[in-house]
Amino acid sequence: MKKVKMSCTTCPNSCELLATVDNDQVVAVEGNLCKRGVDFAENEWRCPVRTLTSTMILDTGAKAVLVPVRSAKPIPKAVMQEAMAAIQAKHLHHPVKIGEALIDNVAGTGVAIVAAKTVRM
Amino acid sequence: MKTYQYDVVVVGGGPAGLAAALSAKKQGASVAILERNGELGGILEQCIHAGFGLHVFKEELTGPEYAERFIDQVADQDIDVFLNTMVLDITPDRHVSAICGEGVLHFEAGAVILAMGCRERTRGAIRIPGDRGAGVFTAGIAQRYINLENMKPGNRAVILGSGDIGLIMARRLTLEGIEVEGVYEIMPYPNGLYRNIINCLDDFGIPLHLSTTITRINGKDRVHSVEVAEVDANRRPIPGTEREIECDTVLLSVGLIPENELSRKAGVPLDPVTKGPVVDENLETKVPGIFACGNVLHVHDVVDYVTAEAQEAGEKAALYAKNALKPAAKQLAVKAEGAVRYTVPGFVDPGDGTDKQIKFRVGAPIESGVTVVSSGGQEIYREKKAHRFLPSNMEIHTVACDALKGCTAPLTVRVEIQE
Repeated sequence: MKKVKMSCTTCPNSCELLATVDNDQVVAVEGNLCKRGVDFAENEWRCPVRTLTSTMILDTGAKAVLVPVRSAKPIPKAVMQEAMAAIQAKHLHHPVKIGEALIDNVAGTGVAIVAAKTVRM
Repeated sequence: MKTYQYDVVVVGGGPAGLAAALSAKKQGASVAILERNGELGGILEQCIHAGFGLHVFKEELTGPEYAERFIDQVADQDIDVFLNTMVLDITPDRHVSAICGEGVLHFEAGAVILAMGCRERTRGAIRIPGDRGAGVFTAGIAQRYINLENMKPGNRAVILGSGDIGLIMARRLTLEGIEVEGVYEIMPYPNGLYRNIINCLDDFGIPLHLSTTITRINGKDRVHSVEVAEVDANRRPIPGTEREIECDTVLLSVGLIPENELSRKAGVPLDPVTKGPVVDENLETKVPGIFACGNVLHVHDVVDYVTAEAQEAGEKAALYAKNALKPAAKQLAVKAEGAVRYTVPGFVDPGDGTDKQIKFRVGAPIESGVTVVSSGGQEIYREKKAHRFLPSNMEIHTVACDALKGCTAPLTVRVEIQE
Protein backbone atom coordinates (compact mmCIF):
# COMPACT_ATOMS: atom_id res chain seq x y z
CA MET A 1 0.00 0.00 0.00
CA LYS A 2 1.11 3.55 -0.65
CA LYS A 3 -0.22 7.08 -0.41
CA VAL A 4 -0.73 9.18 -3.55
CA LYS A 5 -1.41 12.92 -3.66
CA MET A 6 -4.00 14.10 -6.17
CA SER A 7 -5.99 17.23 -6.81
CA CYS A 8 -9.65 16.72 -7.56
CA THR A 9 -10.70 18.58 -10.71
CA THR A 10 -14.42 17.84 -10.48
CA CYS A 11 -15.33 21.34 -9.32
CA PRO A 12 -13.58 24.63 -8.45
CA ASN A 13 -13.12 23.58 -4.81
CA SER A 14 -10.03 21.69 -6.09
CA CYS A 15 -9.79 19.45 -3.02
CA GLU A 16 -6.31 18.12 -2.37
CA LEU A 17 -6.76 14.39 -2.01
CA LEU A 18 -4.53 11.87 -0.31
CA ALA A 19 -5.44 8.46 -1.69
CA THR A 20 -4.29 5.21 -0.14
CA VAL A 21 -3.78 2.72 -2.97
CA ASP A 22 -3.13 -1.00 -3.11
CA ASN A 23 -2.17 -2.12 -6.64
CA ASP A 24 -5.12 -1.00 -8.76
CA GLN A 25 -7.44 -0.47 -5.78
CA VAL A 26 -8.04 2.82 -4.00
CA VAL A 27 -8.72 1.77 -0.41
CA ALA A 28 -9.12 5.20 1.22
CA VAL A 29 -9.39 8.87 0.26
CA GLU A 30 -8.78 11.82 2.57
CA GLY A 31 -9.18 15.55 1.99
CA ASN A 32 -12.33 15.41 -0.14
CA LEU A 33 -15.28 17.68 0.67
CA CYS A 34 -17.78 15.44 -1.10
CA LYS A 35 -18.28 11.92 -2.47
CA ARG A 36 -17.26 12.96 -5.96
CA GLY A 37 -13.71 13.19 -4.61
CA VAL A 38 -13.70 9.44 -3.99
CA ASP A 39 -14.97 8.71 -7.51
CA PHE A 40 -12.37 11.05 -8.92
CA ALA A 41 -9.51 9.39 -7.00
CA GLU A 42 -10.60 5.91 -8.14
CA ASN A 43 -10.76 6.95 -11.78
CA GLU A 44 -7.60 8.98 -11.60
CA TRP A 45 -5.63 6.06 -10.18
CA ARG A 46 -6.97 3.33 -12.44
CA CYS A 47 -7.74 5.12 -15.70
CA PRO A 48 -7.83 8.93 -15.75
CA VAL A 49 -10.77 10.22 -17.80
CA ARG A 50 -11.62 13.68 -19.14
CA THR A 51 -14.50 15.20 -21.06
CA LEU A 52 -13.24 15.96 -24.57
CA THR A 53 -14.65 19.05 -26.29
CA SER A 54 -13.92 20.29 -29.79
CA THR A 55 -15.71 21.49 -32.90
CA MET A 56 -16.97 19.73 -36.01
CA ILE A 57 -17.36 21.29 -39.45
CA LEU A 58 -20.88 21.72 -40.78
CA ASP A 59 -20.88 22.42 -44.54
CA THR A 60 -23.77 24.70 -45.31
CA GLY A 61 -22.72 25.18 -48.92
CA ALA A 62 -21.94 28.86 -48.62
CA LYS A 63 -19.81 28.85 -45.51
CA ALA A 64 -18.43 26.24 -43.13
CA VAL A 65 -19.92 26.58 -39.66
CA LEU A 66 -18.34 25.07 -36.59
CA VAL A 67 -20.55 23.01 -34.31
CA PRO A 68 -19.29 22.65 -30.73
CA VAL A 69 -19.15 18.97 -29.75
CA ARG A 70 -18.32 16.97 -26.62
CA SER A 71 -17.89 13.44 -25.45
CA ALA A 72 -21.18 12.47 -23.82
CA LYS A 73 -19.17 11.19 -20.88
CA PRO A 74 -15.52 11.54 -19.85
CA ILE A 75 -13.24 9.29 -21.92
CA PRO A 76 -9.76 7.92 -21.08
CA LYS A 77 -6.99 10.48 -21.39
CA ALA A 78 -4.98 7.99 -23.42
CA VAL A 79 -7.36 8.11 -26.42
CA MET A 80 -7.75 11.92 -26.67
CA GLN A 81 -5.71 12.33 -29.88
CA GLU A 82 -7.44 9.36 -31.52
CA ALA A 83 -10.82 10.85 -30.63
CA MET A 84 -9.72 14.27 -31.95
CA ALA A 85 -8.70 12.69 -35.26
CA ALA A 86 -12.15 11.09 -35.57
CA ILE A 87 -13.85 14.44 -34.88
CA GLN A 88 -11.64 16.24 -37.40
CA ALA A 89 -12.30 13.64 -40.10
CA LYS A 90 -16.06 13.98 -39.86
CA HIS A 91 -17.99 16.63 -41.79
CA LEU A 92 -21.66 17.34 -41.15
CA HIS A 93 -24.11 18.28 -43.86
CA HIS A 94 -27.33 18.63 -41.88
CA PRO A 95 -28.70 20.77 -39.06
CA VAL A 96 -27.96 19.35 -35.62
CA LYS A 97 -29.83 19.32 -32.36
CA ILE A 98 -28.14 19.65 -28.99
CA GLY A 99 -27.34 16.21 -27.56
CA GLU A 100 -27.54 14.49 -30.98
CA ALA A 101 -24.94 11.73 -31.37
CA LEU A 102 -22.57 12.58 -34.23
CA ILE A 103 -20.06 9.76 -33.70
CA ASP A 104 -21.44 6.71 -31.91
CA ASN A 105 -18.46 4.99 -30.41
CA VAL A 106 -15.46 7.28 -30.46
CA ALA A 107 -12.04 5.60 -30.38
CA GLY A 108 -13.60 2.37 -29.15
CA THR A 109 -14.62 3.93 -25.84
CA GLY A 110 -18.31 3.15 -26.18
CA VAL A 111 -18.93 6.87 -25.64
CA ALA A 112 -20.61 9.08 -28.24
CA ILE A 113 -19.48 12.46 -29.49
CA VAL A 114 -22.59 14.65 -29.29
CA ALA A 115 -23.53 18.13 -30.50
CA ALA A 116 -23.24 20.75 -27.75
CA LYS A 117 -25.44 23.24 -29.57
CA THR A 118 -28.51 23.29 -31.78
CA VAL A 119 -27.47 24.62 -35.19
CA ARG A 120 -30.14 25.36 -37.76
CA MET A 121 -28.88 25.82 -41.29
CA MET B 1 -36.92 56.80 -34.79
CA LYS B 2 -38.79 53.97 -33.11
CA THR B 3 -39.52 54.29 -29.40
CA TYR B 4 -40.22 51.33 -27.14
CA GLN B 5 -41.29 51.17 -23.52
CA TYR B 6 -40.37 48.33 -21.17
CA ASP B 7 -40.36 47.82 -17.43
CA VAL B 8 -36.87 46.37 -17.67
CA VAL B 9 -34.27 46.83 -20.42
CA VAL B 10 -31.31 44.44 -20.19
CA VAL B 11 -28.11 45.56 -21.92
CA GLY B 12 -26.26 42.44 -23.03
CA GLY B 13 -27.47 38.93 -23.88
CA GLY B 14 -24.72 36.84 -22.29
CA PRO B 15 -25.15 34.66 -19.20
CA ALA B 16 -25.84 37.67 -16.94
CA GLY B 17 -28.35 39.30 -19.28
CA LEU B 18 -30.21 36.04 -19.97
CA ALA B 19 -30.64 35.17 -16.28
CA ALA B 20 -31.54 38.74 -15.34
CA ALA B 21 -34.17 38.93 -18.08
CA LEU B 22 -35.77 35.62 -17.06
CA SER B 23 -35.86 36.63 -13.44
CA ALA B 24 -37.40 40.04 -14.20
CA LYS B 25 -40.00 38.34 -16.40
CA LYS B 26 -40.86 35.99 -13.55
CA GLN B 27 -41.79 39.06 -11.51
CA GLY B 28 -44.27 40.04 -14.21
CA ALA B 29 -42.19 42.79 -15.81
CA SER B 30 -42.12 43.51 -19.54
CA VAL B 31 -38.55 42.82 -20.62
CA ALA B 32 -36.26 43.55 -23.57
CA ILE B 33 -32.75 42.21 -24.13
CA LEU B 34 -30.47 44.33 -26.31
CA GLU B 35 -27.58 42.29 -27.75
CA ARG B 36 -24.96 43.61 -30.17
CA ASN B 37 -24.07 40.14 -31.48
CA GLY B 38 -26.16 38.16 -33.98
CA GLU B 39 -27.08 35.54 -31.37
CA LEU B 40 -27.61 35.30 -27.63
CA GLY B 41 -25.16 33.57 -25.30
CA GLY B 42 -22.31 36.05 -25.17
CA ILE B 43 -18.84 34.68 -24.54
CA LEU B 44 -20.27 31.24 -23.65
CA GLU B 45 -20.63 30.55 -27.39
CA GLN B 46 -16.86 30.38 -27.80
CA CYS B 47 -16.20 28.67 -24.45
CA ILE B 48 -16.72 25.18 -25.87
CA HIS B 49 -14.94 23.49 -22.94
CA ALA B 50 -16.82 21.77 -20.14
CA GLY B 51 -17.01 22.93 -16.54
CA PHE B 52 -20.13 25.12 -16.51
CA GLY B 53 -23.31 24.44 -14.58
CA LEU B 54 -22.00 22.39 -11.66
CA HIS B 55 -23.91 24.60 -9.20
CA VAL B 56 -26.94 25.64 -11.24
CA PHE B 57 -27.68 22.34 -13.03
CA LYS B 58 -25.62 19.89 -10.92
CA GLU B 59 -23.93 18.61 -14.06
CA GLU B 60 -20.93 19.58 -16.11
CA LEU B 61 -21.92 21.44 -19.26
CA THR B 62 -19.99 23.17 -22.04
CA GLY B 63 -20.46 26.91 -22.56
CA PRO B 64 -22.84 26.57 -25.54
CA GLU B 65 -24.90 23.96 -23.65
CA TYR B 66 -25.17 26.21 -20.61
CA ALA B 67 -26.20 29.15 -22.80
CA GLU B 68 -28.74 27.13 -24.80
CA ARG B 69 -30.64 26.18 -21.65
CA PHE B 70 -31.19 29.88 -20.90
CA ILE B 71 -31.76 30.87 -24.52
CA ASP B 72 -34.51 28.22 -24.77
CA GLN B 73 -36.17 29.58 -21.63
CA VAL B 74 -36.03 33.13 -23.00
CA ALA B 75 -37.60 31.91 -26.26
CA ASP B 76 -40.43 30.29 -24.27
CA GLN B 77 -41.16 33.52 -22.44
CA ASP B 78 -42.63 36.73 -23.73
CA ILE B 79 -39.26 38.50 -23.72
CA ASP B 80 -38.34 40.76 -26.65
CA VAL B 81 -34.85 40.11 -27.98
CA PHE B 82 -33.14 42.72 -30.15
CA LEU B 83 -30.12 41.14 -31.85
CA ASN B 84 -27.44 43.02 -33.82
CA THR B 85 -28.44 45.97 -31.69
CA MET B 86 -25.71 47.97 -30.04
CA VAL B 87 -26.51 50.31 -27.19
CA LEU B 88 -24.86 53.69 -27.71
CA ASP B 89 -26.09 55.65 -24.73
CA ILE B 90 -27.90 55.32 -21.43
CA THR B 91 -29.06 58.41 -19.57
CA PRO B 92 -29.46 58.67 -15.77
CA ASP B 93 -33.25 58.80 -16.29
CA ARG B 94 -33.07 55.46 -18.13
CA HIS B 95 -33.45 56.44 -21.76
CA VAL B 96 -31.51 53.91 -23.78
CA SER B 97 -30.50 54.57 -27.40
CA ALA B 98 -29.29 51.79 -29.61
CA ILE B 99 -28.41 51.27 -33.25
CA CYS B 100 -29.35 48.33 -35.44
CA GLY B 101 -29.76 47.58 -39.15
CA GLU B 102 -32.98 49.58 -39.29
CA GLY B 103 -31.47 52.64 -37.66
CA VAL B 104 -31.65 54.14 -34.22
CA LEU B 105 -33.96 52.65 -31.61
CA HIS B 106 -35.03 54.40 -28.47
CA PHE B 107 -36.08 52.69 -25.24
CA GLU B 108 -37.75 54.17 -22.19
CA ALA B 109 -37.07 51.82 -19.31
CA GLY B 110 -38.55 51.51 -15.85
CA ALA B 111 -35.26 49.93 -14.86
CA VAL B 112 -32.04 49.19 -16.71
CA ILE B 113 -29.82 46.18 -16.06
CA LEU B 114 -26.20 46.55 -17.07
CA ALA B 115 -24.96 43.13 -18.23
CA MET B 116 -22.28 44.02 -20.75
CA GLY B 117 -19.63 41.66 -19.39
CA CYS B 118 -15.93 42.36 -19.60
CA ARG B 119 -13.13 42.49 -22.10
CA GLU B 120 -9.56 41.29 -22.11
CA ARG B 121 -6.50 43.31 -21.28
CA THR B 122 -4.31 43.69 -24.34
CA ARG B 123 -0.62 44.03 -25.15
CA GLY B 124 -1.02 47.79 -24.86
CA ALA B 125 -2.34 47.47 -21.32
CA ILE B 126 0.79 45.68 -20.15
CA ARG B 127 3.25 47.42 -22.51
CA ILE B 128 5.42 44.54 -23.74
CA PRO B 129 8.37 46.09 -25.61
CA GLY B 130 9.56 44.92 -29.01
CA ASP B 131 8.40 44.70 -32.61
CA ARG B 132 4.80 44.98 -33.64
CA GLY B 133 4.54 42.04 -36.00
CA ALA B 134 1.43 39.92 -36.51
CA GLY B 135 0.85 36.92 -34.26
CA VAL B 136 0.04 38.56 -30.92
CA PHE B 137 -3.50 37.74 -29.78
CA THR B 138 -5.49 37.90 -26.60
CA ALA B 139 -6.39 34.37 -25.54
CA GLY B 140 -10.08 35.10 -26.15
CA ILE B 141 -9.48 36.28 -29.71
CA ALA B 142 -7.53 33.08 -30.45
CA GLN B 143 -10.42 31.17 -28.86
CA ARG B 144 -12.87 32.92 -31.15
CA TYR B 145 -10.72 32.21 -34.24
CA ILE B 146 -10.37 28.51 -33.44
CA ASN B 147 -13.80 27.71 -31.99
CA LEU B 148 -16.07 29.93 -34.08
CA GLU B 149 -14.23 31.17 -37.18
CA ASN B 150 -12.30 28.02 -38.11
CA MET B 151 -9.03 29.94 -38.37
CA LYS B 152 -5.62 28.82 -37.14
CA PRO B 153 -3.73 31.57 -35.31
CA GLY B 154 -0.25 30.02 -35.77
CA ASN B 155 1.94 26.97 -35.41
CA ARG B 156 3.99 27.40 -32.23
CA ALA B 157 2.68 29.50 -29.37
CA VAL B 158 3.90 30.99 -26.14
CA ILE B 159 1.21 31.96 -23.64
CA LEU B 160 1.70 34.91 -21.31
CA GLY B 161 -0.41 34.84 -18.16
CA SER B 162 -2.04 31.91 -16.43
CA GLY B 163 -5.61 33.23 -16.41
CA ASP B 164 -8.28 30.62 -17.10
CA ILE B 165 -8.72 31.51 -20.76
CA GLY B 166 -4.98 31.16 -21.34
CA LEU B 167 -4.93 27.72 -19.69
CA ILE B 168 -8.02 26.57 -21.59
CA MET B 169 -6.42 27.75 -24.84
CA ALA B 170 -3.17 25.92 -24.10
CA ARG B 171 -5.18 22.67 -24.18
CA ARG B 172 -7.26 23.73 -27.15
CA LEU B 173 -4.22 24.67 -29.26
CA THR B 174 -2.51 21.38 -28.38
CA LEU B 175 -5.57 19.33 -29.33
CA GLU B 176 -5.72 21.15 -32.67
CA GLY B 177 -2.07 20.36 -33.40
CA ILE B 178 -0.61 23.77 -32.53
CA GLU B 179 2.46 23.43 -30.34
CA VAL B 180 2.41 25.28 -27.01
CA GLU B 181 5.96 25.92 -25.80
CA GLY B 182 4.92 26.99 -22.33
CA VAL B 183 2.86 29.30 -20.16
CA TYR B 184 4.64 32.21 -18.46
CA GLU B 185 3.24 33.92 -15.36
CA ILE B 186 4.77 37.03 -13.82
CA MET B 187 3.28 36.28 -10.38
CA PRO B 188 4.72 33.56 -8.11
CA TYR B 189 1.34 31.77 -8.19
CA PRO B 190 -1.03 30.79 -11.02
CA ASN B 191 -3.94 33.08 -11.84
CA GLY B 192 -6.38 30.47 -13.08
CA LEU B 193 -8.46 27.83 -11.34
CA TYR B 194 -6.47 24.86 -10.11
CA ARG B 195 -8.52 22.33 -12.07
CA ASN B 196 -7.53 24.14 -15.27
CA ILE B 197 -3.84 23.82 -14.46
CA ILE B 198 -4.25 20.06 -14.04
CA ASN B 199 -6.63 19.47 -16.94
CA CYS B 200 -5.12 21.90 -19.43
CA LEU B 201 -1.39 21.96 -18.70
CA ASP B 202 -0.35 18.90 -16.68
CA ASP B 203 -2.43 16.53 -18.83
CA PHE B 204 -0.50 17.66 -21.91
CA GLY B 205 2.92 18.16 -20.35
CA ILE B 206 2.85 21.92 -20.94
CA PRO B 207 5.21 23.68 -18.51
CA LEU B 208 4.04 26.60 -16.34
CA HIS B 209 6.87 29.03 -15.55
CA LEU B 210 6.02 31.15 -12.52
CA SER B 211 7.75 34.47 -11.69
CA THR B 212 8.67 34.73 -15.37
CA THR B 213 7.48 37.15 -18.04
CA ILE B 214 7.95 38.13 -21.66
CA THR B 215 10.38 41.05 -21.86
CA ARG B 216 10.44 41.46 -25.65
CA ILE B 217 8.54 40.31 -28.74
CA ASN B 218 10.68 39.91 -31.88
CA GLY B 219 9.60 39.84 -35.53
CA LYS B 220 8.77 42.80 -37.76
CA ASP B 221 6.16 41.22 -40.05
CA ARG B 222 5.34 38.13 -38.04
CA VAL B 223 6.46 37.15 -34.55
CA HIS B 224 9.51 34.86 -34.76
CA SER B 225 10.56 34.78 -31.10
CA VAL B 226 10.05 36.20 -27.65
CA GLU B 227 12.53 36.96 -24.91
CA VAL B 228 11.49 35.79 -21.44
CA ALA B 229 13.14 36.57 -18.12
CA GLU B 230 12.63 35.64 -14.50
CA VAL B 231 11.39 38.43 -12.26
CA ASP B 232 12.24 39.44 -8.70
CA ALA B 233 9.80 39.97 -5.82
CA ASN B 234 8.96 43.41 -7.28
CA ARG B 235 8.15 41.85 -10.65
CA ARG B 236 11.25 43.39 -12.25
CA PRO B 237 13.17 41.25 -14.76
CA ILE B 238 16.39 39.80 -13.29
CA PRO B 239 19.35 40.64 -15.58
CA GLY B 240 21.11 37.56 -16.87
CA THR B 241 18.03 35.31 -16.78
CA GLU B 242 16.84 36.27 -20.27
CA ARG B 243 16.39 33.56 -22.88
CA GLU B 244 14.96 33.60 -26.38
CA ILE B 245 12.14 31.27 -27.42
CA GLU B 246 11.21 30.65 -31.03
CA CYS B 247 7.49 31.00 -31.69
CA ASP B 248 5.17 32.57 -34.26
CA THR B 249 2.28 33.22 -31.90
CA VAL B 250 1.87 34.91 -28.53
CA LEU B 251 -1.36 34.56 -26.57
CA LEU B 252 -2.08 37.00 -23.77
CA SER B 253 -4.18 35.94 -20.80
CA VAL B 254 -3.42 38.88 -18.55
CA GLY B 255 -6.70 39.83 -16.99
CA LEU B 256 -10.21 41.03 -17.69
CA ILE B 257 -11.70 44.49 -17.28
CA PRO B 258 -15.45 45.13 -16.88
CA GLU B 259 -16.80 46.97 -19.90
CA ASN B 260 -18.28 50.12 -18.38
CA GLU B 261 -18.24 52.80 -21.08
CA LEU B 262 -22.05 52.86 -21.06
CA SER B 263 -22.20 52.86 -17.25
CA ARG B 264 -20.00 55.96 -17.21
CA LYS B 265 -22.25 57.69 -19.73
CA ALA B 266 -25.18 56.97 -17.42
CA GLY B 267 -23.29 58.65 -14.59
CA VAL B 268 -22.82 55.41 -12.64
CA PRO B 269 -19.92 55.70 -10.15
CA LEU B 270 -17.36 52.91 -10.50
CA ASP B 271 -15.21 51.14 -7.92
CA PRO B 272 -11.51 51.79 -8.66
CA VAL B 273 -10.57 48.19 -7.78
CA THR B 274 -13.26 46.15 -9.54
CA LYS B 275 -13.62 48.76 -12.34
CA GLY B 276 -17.33 47.95 -12.09
CA PRO B 277 -20.23 49.95 -10.65
CA VAL B 278 -20.55 50.45 -6.91
CA VAL B 279 -23.78 48.66 -5.92
CA ASP B 280 -25.88 47.98 -2.86
CA GLU B 281 -27.22 44.56 -1.87
CA ASN B 282 -29.99 44.89 -4.46
CA LEU B 283 -27.27 45.27 -7.13
CA GLU B 284 -28.58 48.78 -7.74
CA THR B 285 -25.93 51.31 -8.73
CA LYS B 286 -25.72 54.81 -7.28
CA VAL B 287 -28.04 55.90 -10.11
CA PRO B 288 -31.57 54.90 -9.06
CA GLY B 289 -33.15 52.28 -11.30
CA ILE B 290 -29.89 51.19 -12.95
CA PHE B 291 -28.72 47.75 -11.81
CA ALA B 292 -25.59 45.75 -12.67
CA CYS B 293 -24.67 42.07 -12.60
CA GLY B 294 -22.15 39.60 -13.93
CA ASN B 295 -18.71 40.47 -15.22
CA VAL B 296 -19.59 44.11 -15.88
CA LEU B 297 -19.93 44.44 -12.10
CA HIS B 298 -16.88 42.42 -11.08
CA VAL B 299 -15.03 39.62 -12.86
CA HIS B 300 -16.36 36.24 -11.71
CA ASP B 301 -14.54 32.93 -11.62
CA VAL B 302 -17.52 30.67 -12.36
CA VAL B 303 -20.52 31.41 -14.61
CA ASP B 304 -22.93 29.76 -12.16
CA TYR B 305 -22.31 32.66 -9.76
CA VAL B 306 -22.97 35.13 -12.58
CA THR B 307 -26.34 33.47 -13.09
CA ALA B 308 -27.24 33.65 -9.40
CA GLU B 309 -26.21 37.31 -9.19
CA ALA B 310 -28.12 38.19 -12.35
CA GLN B 311 -31.27 36.49 -11.07
CA GLU B 312 -31.09 38.74 -8.03
CA ALA B 313 -30.56 41.85 -10.18
CA GLY B 314 -33.46 40.88 -12.46
CA GLU B 315 -35.85 40.44 -9.59
CA LYS B 316 -34.87 43.71 -7.93
CA ALA B 317 -34.99 45.67 -11.20
CA ALA B 318 -38.51 44.38 -11.86
CA LEU B 319 -39.59 45.42 -8.38
CA TYR B 320 -38.04 48.86 -8.91
CA ALA B 321 -39.90 49.30 -12.19
CA LYS B 322 -43.16 48.53 -10.37
CA ASN B 323 -42.34 50.93 -7.52
CA ALA B 324 -42.20 47.92 -5.19
CA LEU B 325 -38.55 48.08 -4.20
CA LYS B 326 -38.30 49.56 -0.73
CA PRO B 327 -35.69 52.32 -0.62
CA ALA B 328 -32.98 51.73 1.97
CA ALA B 329 -33.73 53.38 5.32
CA LYS B 330 -30.02 53.58 6.02
CA GLN B 331 -26.94 52.58 4.05
CA LEU B 332 -23.70 51.36 5.55
CA ALA B 333 -20.51 51.11 3.51
CA VAL B 334 -18.90 47.68 3.19
CA LYS B 335 -15.12 48.06 3.19
CA ALA B 336 -12.33 45.71 2.18
CA GLU B 337 -9.49 45.42 4.65
CA GLY B 338 -6.00 43.94 4.38
CA ALA B 339 -5.78 41.03 1.97
CA VAL B 340 -9.38 41.57 0.81
CA ARG B 341 -9.16 43.62 -2.40
CA TYR B 342 -12.78 44.67 -2.78
CA THR B 343 -16.30 43.76 -1.76
CA VAL B 344 -19.55 43.50 -3.68
CA PRO B 345 -21.88 45.04 -2.57
CA GLY B 346 -20.22 48.28 -1.52
CA PHE B 347 -23.25 49.31 0.57
CA VAL B 348 -25.95 47.51 2.56
CA ASP B 349 -29.06 48.47 4.49
CA PRO B 350 -28.54 46.79 7.88
CA GLY B 351 -32.12 47.09 9.08
CA ASP B 352 -34.26 45.72 6.23
CA GLY B 353 -34.46 42.22 7.70
CA THR B 354 -32.67 40.32 4.92
CA ASP B 355 -29.45 38.30 4.98
CA LYS B 356 -26.61 39.92 3.04
CA GLN B 357 -24.38 38.12 0.62
CA ILE B 358 -20.86 39.56 0.47
CA LYS B 359 -18.48 38.62 -2.34
CA PHE B 360 -14.79 39.41 -2.48
CA ARG B 361 -11.39 38.33 -3.69
CA VAL B 362 -8.01 38.35 -1.99
CA GLY B 363 -4.95 40.01 -3.55
CA ALA B 364 -2.50 37.18 -2.82
CA PRO B 365 -2.84 33.54 -1.73
CA ILE B 366 -3.43 32.81 1.96
CA GLU B 367 -2.68 29.23 3.01
CA SER B 368 -5.23 29.11 5.82
CA GLY B 369 -7.63 31.73 7.09
CA VAL B 370 -11.20 32.63 7.97
CA THR B 371 -13.39 35.47 6.75
CA VAL B 372 -14.40 37.97 9.44
CA VAL B 373 -16.94 40.79 9.07
CA SER B 374 -17.07 43.54 11.71
CA SER B 375 -18.95 46.75 12.34
CA GLY B 376 -17.42 49.35 14.65
CA GLY B 377 -15.05 46.82 16.21
CA GLN B 378 -17.88 44.34 16.82
CA GLU B 379 -17.61 41.01 15.01
CA ILE B 380 -20.87 40.19 13.23
CA TYR B 381 -19.70 37.24 11.12
CA ARG B 382 -16.91 34.72 11.48
CA GLU B 383 -16.37 31.81 9.12
CA LYS B 384 -16.30 28.49 10.99
CA LYS B 385 -13.83 26.47 8.99
CA ALA B 386 -10.39 27.72 7.99
CA HIS B 387 -9.45 27.23 4.33
CA ARG B 388 -7.11 28.42 1.61
CA PHE B 389 -7.83 31.74 -0.15
CA LEU B 390 -6.67 32.21 -3.73
CA PRO B 391 -6.88 35.36 -5.90
CA SER B 392 -8.39 33.20 -8.67
CA ASN B 393 -11.37 32.21 -6.50
CA MET B 394 -14.26 34.51 -5.63
CA GLU B 395 -15.38 34.22 -2.00
CA ILE B 396 -19.11 34.35 -1.20
CA HIS B 397 -20.29 34.74 2.40
CA THR B 398 -23.71 35.38 3.90
CA VAL B 399 -24.12 37.63 6.93
CA ALA B 400 -27.35 36.90 8.80
CA CYS B 401 -29.84 39.75 9.16
CA ASP B 402 -29.99 39.29 12.94
CA ALA B 403 -26.28 40.02 13.24
CA LEU B 404 -26.72 43.22 11.22
CA LYS B 405 -29.54 44.62 13.31
CA GLY B 406 -28.45 47.75 15.13
CA CYS B 407 -25.18 48.13 13.21
CA THR B 408 -24.38 51.80 12.72
CA ALA B 409 -20.71 51.74 11.67
CA PRO B 410 -19.41 50.66 8.24
CA LEU B 411 -18.85 46.93 7.80
CA THR B 412 -15.29 45.79 7.28
CA VAL B 413 -14.41 42.48 5.64
CA ARG B 414 -11.04 40.87 6.32
CA VAL B 415 -9.33 37.49 6.27
CA GLU B 416 -7.85 36.42 9.57
CA ILE B 417 -4.82 34.21 9.02
CA GLN B 418 -4.90 30.91 10.95
CA GLU B 419 -1.71 29.11 11.84
